[in-house]
Amino acid sequence: MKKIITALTAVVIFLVTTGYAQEAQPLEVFGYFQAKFAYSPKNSFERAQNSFNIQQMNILLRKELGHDFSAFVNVELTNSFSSERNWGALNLEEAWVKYQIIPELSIKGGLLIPTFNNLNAIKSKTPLLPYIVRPVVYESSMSVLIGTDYVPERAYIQLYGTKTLGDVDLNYAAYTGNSETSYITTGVAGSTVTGNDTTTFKMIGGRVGISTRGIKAGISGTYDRKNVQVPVIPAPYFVSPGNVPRVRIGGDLSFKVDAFSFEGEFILVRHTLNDFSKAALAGIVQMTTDPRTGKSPFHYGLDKKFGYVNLMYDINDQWYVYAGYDYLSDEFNTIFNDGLMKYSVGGGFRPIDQVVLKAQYIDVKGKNEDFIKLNYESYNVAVSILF
Amino acid sequence: MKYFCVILILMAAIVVTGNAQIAVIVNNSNPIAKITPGSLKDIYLLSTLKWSDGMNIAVLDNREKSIQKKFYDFIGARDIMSVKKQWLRFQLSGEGKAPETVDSDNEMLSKVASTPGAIGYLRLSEVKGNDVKVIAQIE
Repeated sequence: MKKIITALTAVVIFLVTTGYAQEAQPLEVFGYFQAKFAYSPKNSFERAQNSFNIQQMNILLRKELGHDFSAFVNVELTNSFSSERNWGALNLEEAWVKYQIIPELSIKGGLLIPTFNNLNAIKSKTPLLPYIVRPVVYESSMSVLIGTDYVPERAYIQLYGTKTLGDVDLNYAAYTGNSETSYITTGVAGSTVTGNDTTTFKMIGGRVGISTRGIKAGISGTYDRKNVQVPVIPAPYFVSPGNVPRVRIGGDLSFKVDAFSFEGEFILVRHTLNDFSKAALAGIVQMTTDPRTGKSPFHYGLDKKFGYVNLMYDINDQWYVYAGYDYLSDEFNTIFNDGLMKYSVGGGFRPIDQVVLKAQYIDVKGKNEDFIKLNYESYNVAVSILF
Repeated sequence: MKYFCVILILMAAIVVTGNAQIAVIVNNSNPIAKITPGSLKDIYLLSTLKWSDGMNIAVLDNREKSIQKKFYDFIGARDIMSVKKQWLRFQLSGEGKAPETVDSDNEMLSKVASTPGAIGYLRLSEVKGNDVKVIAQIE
């Protein structure tokens, strides 16, 4: 016993002294912001309007801790944040510590943005993105309208790495985190301890991909539950499917040929309703179907689909142009159940590496015009700054 | 005639710069003696972050376009824009530091000379002193 204690003490002393003996690495402080001007002609919801806005600002802190540990914090302020004026939001997006187990495998613990398809982990890194308005499921300004069911927003532990096999890099990631946001306690609900998961089931997910000679492709998936405890169909029907098992499947592909870059993704969100909920929903749809149109305001399921493609052309090292298309459908959303499309064209100019000037036109259209004719256009210019 | 001479001098300058031999250098304390284009690619695309002795690699990039292009062609990177995007993604995702870009061969020489884990590239004709060593040459 004495020997073990002596050995342990020696190990601790060794770790502490070698830790201090290492050259202290400075705290890296950096970040970025994107300032935007948008003009929207009259649309389905609002009058014509234009506005300046600090779309988002992120302050990033990073420190090498020694012994293959590093820590990273990402604080995000959106929509010209001011707590005094009740504008925007302040979010702790990431706060994690990373440990490199071996060069091919690292682990992150803490709040992190999980790897899902190509865009999820970088959706808020505006200097990296050619566009101003992101593909719809990644665009925070559209989350109120579209919801946040399509991609995992946060996880708490992630194992990930890259293994090189000849010309091919094999990328892998596996993670776990809390259930979806609606299960997390908030002050609104009167909870004394906020931000805690009220369930025992957790989200699990991952991605496997390859990259070789300018081509990147991967498949991603998550498994968790959708909180449908409140009635999804209002009175007098009341159907509450409960905690519904949900699977997200994603695929991503990007490649570059000369000056052309292509990127695309798809996401399928599948829910497994129990037999009672299925039968109840089918009955309600049947009962509420308008005999003249053959349509009901309600639908059978909760499943969702999303896809986007973007083609970019680098005119030279500084100028680029692109065109993109997004498609989304949500079986349970009255506006989007037949589909929502977003067309986008734009371009940008990089006078120096830290500055990108961007311009983008978007046109969003809903296919289902029975209940509301969704049509939204906007002209955007922005400057993205890295500091 | 004057204009003709100026044009000739400019063209000669471009040809000379374009044909300059490039040296890949490390700090003299680094045990490495030679490096392959593949290993350089792994270092400059940030797939390899440490030297074989466990020391962190401090990657330095040269701002001069003609040297830059020749170097990235040699290591087999697709284009400089793609490399820079990869660096930015790496940095903004918290994985590490993007390489520092230096403005001149002199600055490159002094940074590599004063940083034990550093690697950089510059014109071979500008390599001087005993604090750095050449581990690859690009014709």
